[in-house]
Amino acid sequence: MTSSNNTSVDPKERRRFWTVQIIYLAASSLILLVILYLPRNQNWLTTTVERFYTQHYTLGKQIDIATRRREGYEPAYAYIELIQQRCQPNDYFLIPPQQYLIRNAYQAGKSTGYAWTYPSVLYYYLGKSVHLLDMTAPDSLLQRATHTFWALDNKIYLLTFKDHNRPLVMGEFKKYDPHFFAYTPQQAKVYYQSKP
Amino acid sequence: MTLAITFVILAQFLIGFGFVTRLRAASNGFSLLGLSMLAGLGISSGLPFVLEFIHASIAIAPMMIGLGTLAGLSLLLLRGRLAYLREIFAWQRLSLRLCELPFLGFWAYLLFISAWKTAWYPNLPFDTIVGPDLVATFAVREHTLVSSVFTEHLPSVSIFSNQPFYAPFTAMQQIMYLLASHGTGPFAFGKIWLTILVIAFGLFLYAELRERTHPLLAGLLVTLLACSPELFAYTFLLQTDWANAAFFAAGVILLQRHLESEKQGMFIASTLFFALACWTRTETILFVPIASLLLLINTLRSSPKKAIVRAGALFITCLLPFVFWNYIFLRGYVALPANAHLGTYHLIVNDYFSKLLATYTSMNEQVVFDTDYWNYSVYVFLALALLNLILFRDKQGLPILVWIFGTYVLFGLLILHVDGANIAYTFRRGFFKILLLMYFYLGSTSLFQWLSNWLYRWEGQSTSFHKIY
Repeated sequence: MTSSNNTSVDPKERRRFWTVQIIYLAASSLILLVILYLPRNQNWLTTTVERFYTQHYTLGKQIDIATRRREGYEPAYAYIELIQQRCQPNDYFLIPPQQYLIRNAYQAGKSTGYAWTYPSVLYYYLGKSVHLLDMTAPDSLLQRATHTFWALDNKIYLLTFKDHNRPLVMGEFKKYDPHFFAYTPQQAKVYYQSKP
Repeated sequence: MTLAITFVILAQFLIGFGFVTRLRAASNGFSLLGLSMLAGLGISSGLPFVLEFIHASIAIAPMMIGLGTLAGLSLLLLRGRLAYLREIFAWQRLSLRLCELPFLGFWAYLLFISAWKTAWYPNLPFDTIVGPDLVATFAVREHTLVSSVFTEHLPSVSIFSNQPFYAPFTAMQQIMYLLASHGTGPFAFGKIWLTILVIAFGLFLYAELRERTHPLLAGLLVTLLACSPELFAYTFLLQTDWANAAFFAAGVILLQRHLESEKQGMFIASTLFFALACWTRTETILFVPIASLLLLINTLRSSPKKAIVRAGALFITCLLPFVFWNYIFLRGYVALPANAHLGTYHLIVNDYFSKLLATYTSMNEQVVFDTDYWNYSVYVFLALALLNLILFRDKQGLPILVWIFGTYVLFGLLILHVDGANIAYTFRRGFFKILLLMYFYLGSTSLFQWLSNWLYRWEGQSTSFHKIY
């Protein structure tokens, strides 16, 4: 409706128009409230969506990339940072069998299921900052490994290969199936609770 | 928002705007705006391939030149369409009513936090960081689509699944937005295009529903749909499924418009969106025959030749992105790793029907009727659809029901026969398509038209719609 048309509208008609609009506004507000107060919708809005707004309130002002990555990637970020700090682009990082980590340090990774040890996840995070080695690589290539993760007392450490520890570590890793992968914490738990 | 990102969004919008306007595929201004952005996002995702094939670097300058050129070419399509634009952007078609404001406020509340989470957090879903974002990150870093992901990493590892080979739309959008953000600032992780896609589709769907029903009812339907936690979660978790559902639903809605109006432009636009859905998730090609079937049923009696040509043209057009990505690019241009097994399927010999029935039962239990995922939206759909069928017993909106039921049935067969397809992930996120169609269907039913007419009569307005196709 244009302003020139407005001037020619009968005041009664205009009043009726706005009365109808306000009744509709009240109706739509009421409908919206009814939908939002349905138990499941209310629960979703007051828990999940509210939690997102709390995140925004606490994190929103931090736009530093490293902070955002740390917050998002959570447990994986500590391990990724450790590898990036300690390894050079010409080093070879041997990805330990996931079964080995679950069996020996389940507590450390139970919330992630060690999904960060999936080769493509490590490649996504690390790129070419280190060469990645898979346990299925030929022995000649495995001999090049310079670093790996080693579990001790339910904690994970970055281990540098030396002549004296290489046979022990390789021997231990080869006890586990390199093709096994638990994609979810539930799958990791099933493996952890299975007989060794 | 950085200048480069603003340029990308604007260019993508213009690319779609020229195309959709030329086809007169939208019947009101809001619908045109939403549809243009969706089409622009889809069409522009072919650009990285063009750069790759002409041996240009995947870098910011060639990308911007490409987008600018496409946008300029698209604007040429606007010639002779000024009257159409004037008509669909007429104030009567665009003016909002007071009753829409509470709904708009609520959707803005949800969209704001979704947009913030999209922009602030890095990519988190496992499927994304080992799939589209892995491909995109290394394409940007190494300035080529044939990055070390395909040439070095995948051939050297024993464990990998099919995520790096997902249909390319998501990865291509990530490439464009990662290039535009330079890896810094609030949009460093690229994925803000997902928010733009969600808003564009939301605008299109609402505009379509608003044209079919009273704005109060359209607002009610979109609000019920918006209160689906799982659908909402994937507005900020980057995956292929939201974009796929948006393109697919846009294709279905435009096809329905074509079936109602017989307009050629609607058919071409619908075909484009189905092709884009196949460009976003490979298995969509299995659902496309439903479109061909509906075209055949609709026009076979009146014009058999036209029916067969259109049904065939739609299917072949959708086959092109599927064949290009899976056979020309992945198996031709890029050498697939020897241990990659894509799209393998298996036959079931024993107890076929009991296994199929068990699959549908699990789909229902784990996804369809899981209220943690959809709150009330599925139950409201079923109740209203049933009420409509009982009260009116007519064929109004029947093709949309065929889509809903057909997609559901085909998902069961897909899960039973295709390796890697499962209920927990494939169907849960694939269900977005069905959910969007459920609410478009409700807006098309006689029940909602009756309610709309009742409201329009009450307010003393004419119930006749002025449609321009």
